[in-house]
Amino acid sequence: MFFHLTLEKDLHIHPKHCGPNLFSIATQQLHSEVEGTCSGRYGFIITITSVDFISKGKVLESSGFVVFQVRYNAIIFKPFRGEVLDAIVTKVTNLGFFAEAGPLSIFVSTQLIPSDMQFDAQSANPCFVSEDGSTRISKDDEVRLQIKGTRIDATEIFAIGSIREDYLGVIS
Amino acid sequence: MNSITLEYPFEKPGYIDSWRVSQGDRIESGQVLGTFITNDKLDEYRFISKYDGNVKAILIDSKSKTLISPGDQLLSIDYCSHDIQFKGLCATCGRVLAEKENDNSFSILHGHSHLTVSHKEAQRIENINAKRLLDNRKLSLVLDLDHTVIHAVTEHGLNSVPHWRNIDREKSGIHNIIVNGPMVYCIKKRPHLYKFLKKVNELFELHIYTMGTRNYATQIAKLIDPSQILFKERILSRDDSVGMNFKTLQRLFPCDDSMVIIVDDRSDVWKKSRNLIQVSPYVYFTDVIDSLHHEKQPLLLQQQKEKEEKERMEKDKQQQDKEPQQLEEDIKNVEEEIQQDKQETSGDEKYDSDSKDSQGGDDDGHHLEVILEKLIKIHKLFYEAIDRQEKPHVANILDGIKQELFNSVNLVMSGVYPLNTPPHRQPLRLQAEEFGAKVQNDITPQTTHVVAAKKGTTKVNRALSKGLKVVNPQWIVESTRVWSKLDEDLFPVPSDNQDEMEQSGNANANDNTDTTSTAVNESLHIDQDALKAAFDDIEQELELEDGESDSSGSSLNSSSDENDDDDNDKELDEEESAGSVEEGNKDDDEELLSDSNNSNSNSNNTTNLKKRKRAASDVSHSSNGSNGSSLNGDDDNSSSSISNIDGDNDNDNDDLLDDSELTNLLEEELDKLI
Repeated sequence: MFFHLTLEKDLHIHPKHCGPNLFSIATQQLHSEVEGTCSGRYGFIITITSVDFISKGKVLESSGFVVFQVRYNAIIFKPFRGEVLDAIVTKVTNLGFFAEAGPLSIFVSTQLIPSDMQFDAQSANPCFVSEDGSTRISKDDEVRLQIKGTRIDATEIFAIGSIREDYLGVIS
Repeated sequence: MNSITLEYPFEKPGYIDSWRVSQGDRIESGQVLGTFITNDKLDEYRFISKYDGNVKAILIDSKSKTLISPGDQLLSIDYCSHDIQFKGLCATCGRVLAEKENDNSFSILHGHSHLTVSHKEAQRIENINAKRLLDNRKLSLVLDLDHTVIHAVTEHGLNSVPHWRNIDREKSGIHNIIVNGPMVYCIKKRPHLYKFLKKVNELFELHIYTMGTRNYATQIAKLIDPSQILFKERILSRDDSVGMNFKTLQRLFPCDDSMVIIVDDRSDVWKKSRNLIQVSPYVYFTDVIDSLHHEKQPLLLQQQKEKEEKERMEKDKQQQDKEPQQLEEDIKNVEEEIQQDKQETSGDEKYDSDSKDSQGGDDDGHHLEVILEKLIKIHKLFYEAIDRQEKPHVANILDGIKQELFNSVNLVMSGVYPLNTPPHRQPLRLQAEEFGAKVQNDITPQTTHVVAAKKGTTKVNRALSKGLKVVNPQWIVESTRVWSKLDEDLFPVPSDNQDEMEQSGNANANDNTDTTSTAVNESLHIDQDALKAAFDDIEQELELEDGESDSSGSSLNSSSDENDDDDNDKELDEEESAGSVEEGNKDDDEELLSDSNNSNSNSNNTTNLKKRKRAASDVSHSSNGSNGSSLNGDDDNSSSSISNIDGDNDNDNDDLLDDSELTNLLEEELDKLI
């Protein structure tokens, strides 16, 4: 699920940047430091939409760095159990397949794949094939899946997905 | 999801107090499902779930007042056994699992060590795999990369050797791959690799198991299998492995290795797995310091090197004779150089241009073909047994095939290892036995071969007189390497510096052993001359008695002074040559001993004196009726003592030191020196 949140961060700016372009440099640095990261608390920070406030800088005596408190708005992605997502298959193995929904990697095990779909070890491209051969899941396919569980570390999020429900599976 | 009906778990019957869950609820292990009050109302029980799952149905109403006795059914639940786990998440129910629950789980996928399965699930998957293999009449083959199918060195390493820096890489079939940023590896494929892989792929499902990094492994796989039909995803690298120093089949086949063959150049990393076919390491870039290179068993390596050296020289000679004939078939009257180039460029994907390989110091020959032949044989025998409704195990078949090689061979080793070396410390012996030879301690009517490090031992002489085949230890190494009994004449035992006369003289002396040893006994207490004579005799005896003359033999020569006695001189020569032959065989501790010998003999005489005393004790041993073999174990001491025979001799009646005291002394001396 996506959120639009207001977050804060202490930004350390190198003294060499203290000049006329200070604020644009600070904004740039904020983007590069924050976007694409994952915090266990909020989820994946996808993009910064706006920077609301940059405080007065404070010089650190020991290093000369300047610290700014920054408040910004960002789009956050956090997966929840029960959520339905579209994802791209990245790898197919005999135990299930791996898929990615943006920054989130999801594993779908054979037990959560409809029982009529079997792993095909013979074909050159490993895939799951339904009994009648009409559906096939292989690398780079798009699938719709439901999140069965997530594990949230301080810096990482993993998820288990299922396509063993109605209206889930390959999107064509 | 599995279903189970939970029963009333307590001893005392009781009434339900309340349910803490309702139908359809998700439950975790450790969660309180309900509370019960015993019928005497003294105790309250909490009913705790052992399972993760969902409540399917509640079988007893919370308002019911009926007495519940042990065994009554309370709840039916669906539970998850967490058979597959992905980074600490159950892949079936999505629960976060505590780390401790991962104890008996296996990761069986090649590239994903974070995906683990329970033993039960592993077994299930393996059964499916086994069935698939059986249906296709295939087996699994685990291949090593470095030194088995390719030889890789860093470009930096290659450039540091002038000979290789100047070589035209493209022409020589050397490939460059870039692995991590600036790191460039130069890869040479083993000759006949494609033929091998192609054939093997028909009978086996191929896996790569390498100690290289994942990146490196995939790059190599791409190089030798660009279309990815051979290995597909079945690549296991160091990153996915369990340990840095060893490989284990458990990682890929946790339950059943009865259909897996390993081909690797090292047996130590596999901890002597019975599924292993050990190939001789493929080394193309000779003289290049090899960062990927690993230690091998010192014995094999030493001998290998010597052998390679010889073979290369031979091959170079042969090459000159052979090449023109080969080439005549194609083109005539063209210079050899040009022809070679043509062969190479037109060599399409086979890369089996022998001329080129030998130029690069590669005497690998057709080794892969030999291995291929064995693999085909294993496959054939395996499926023959399957057809007979048996349950074969490849390790047994492999053992059987190995045993065939030296099936009719009865070996006696002579002068290869010190006599008191326990059998498990004798790699050659183990190797011979692995390949079916029967190793005997002494020559019997059944004996067919005598493996000797040098001529002139009793066993060798007896073997020669009986017309048995006498070979040097390399015969075993080489024969097992190429899986065929090589011509024994190609492996003559290195003769000593002495001529035939000397040896026959020695042989004659053998007949007099009894008399000489009694002489020794008397001489012990007499005078210097007699002692000298005694030592001569010991030495002769040692020569005859198959003594492993220890490395100290070589060291003593350097430290020995001018010796007046002619006999002694000759004997020392013998010792030296024997010692140098044995150089490669010595164990680590022996090495230490010899080191200390060396330094000691240079600096002071005390230890040598002790040793001499020790030698004297040996003499008395042998002369007191014990047979030669007991003497042989100590011969290193006695032989080294000979060097100091011209030193002071007045201590011959001193107390005798035993082995441990001697080693202690040596160590002390060594410490002082350091």
